[in-house]
Amino acid sequence: MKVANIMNETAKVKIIKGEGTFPTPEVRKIYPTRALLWKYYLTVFLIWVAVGTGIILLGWFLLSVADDPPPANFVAVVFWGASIIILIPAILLLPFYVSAMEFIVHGDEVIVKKGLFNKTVKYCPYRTVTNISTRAGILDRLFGIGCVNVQTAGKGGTTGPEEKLEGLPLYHEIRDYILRQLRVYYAAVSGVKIPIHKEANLLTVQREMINELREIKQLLKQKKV
Amino acid sequence: MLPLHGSASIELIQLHQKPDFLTDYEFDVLRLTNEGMSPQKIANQLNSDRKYMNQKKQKTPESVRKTRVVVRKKIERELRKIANTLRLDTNLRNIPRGTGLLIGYDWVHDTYVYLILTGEKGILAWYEHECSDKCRTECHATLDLIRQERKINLTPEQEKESLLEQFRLIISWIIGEGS
Repeated sequence: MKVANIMNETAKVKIIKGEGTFPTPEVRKIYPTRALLWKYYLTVFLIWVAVGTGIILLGWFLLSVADDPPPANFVAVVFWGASIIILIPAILLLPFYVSAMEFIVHGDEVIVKKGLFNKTVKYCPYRTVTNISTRAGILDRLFGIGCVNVQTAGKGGTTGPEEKLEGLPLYHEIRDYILRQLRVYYAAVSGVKIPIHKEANLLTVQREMINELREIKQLLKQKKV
Repeated sequence: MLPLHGSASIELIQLHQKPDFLTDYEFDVLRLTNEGMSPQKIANQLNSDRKYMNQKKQKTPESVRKTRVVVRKKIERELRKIANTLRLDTNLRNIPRGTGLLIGYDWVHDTYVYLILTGEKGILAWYEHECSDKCRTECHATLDLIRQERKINLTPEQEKESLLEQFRLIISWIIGEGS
């Protein structure tokens, strides 16, 4: 988005951030956008085109070379058979698959829920996370989405990330958020003061203060009773 | 359900001035709907208005109804545009349509943000926060404005809650009733 557009848009809105503290949300749930579904559809379509081209070329080759060529409609039957096998399940099941995805980012772990028939819930505690990266392929960029990869220590030598948070338009912000949480977590565990983002640091301090005050308030109430 | 009364629909919010994203006709339809007029009456009034008299197509109740849908969609689109500009994650589920409300999540501030359409001040972006003495007056005025425009009454017990809790009550009421 151009700077002028951003300025125009922000001029239309009155922003009230307040001077107080931001409350800690109980849970931070993230869902993939609908763009992920369109990306999957496009991927299936591209596979269909590739497989279809392969079948047509193979059929053409067999018809022209073989001594005993198959019937003329053989290629068409194989082509449409393969199309039905690839396309129909994809069109019907992909929306349900995407809507079943759910990512939860807590203060100490990332939870990834996926699956349509086999529902899987994977927990990635921050103590096992070794690397966080983002990825936006050509198709992702076409639909304005990206993916946050969470790598953990217990992957057993296989390549690729342990968990993928797919279909996120704000993947940079989510990666930064997880990184900030990781730094706060490691700072708390090791006792080493790790430099963290100024704003995040301020937020953490503010939240700690408000929690302390709440506890004091509760104690005072209990004493009164 | 919360013991609140009022309106969640944007059609009952009186816009004080025409926003850029609405045409004169759309704004007039919204204005007359706010006054409680039926589509038939709106169509009659607009047909007799000098501004629309020279137009080839006569306004019909059907066209007025269609325009109402278009207005709702335009307001939603505008809220989404602003949310994109503010880098808010709006892909939260169960957000009702036609309420002039959009809930987003700001990952940098790590808090929820309510984008809400008001008649007097246009679109407001209220970041969920515990108010301090510095911002309490402004936040109170904002809350009162939303309550007044949507005719939402809180019970005396609810009014004793913090501003943040009152805000959450109103938002959850709009979400629950607005679909």
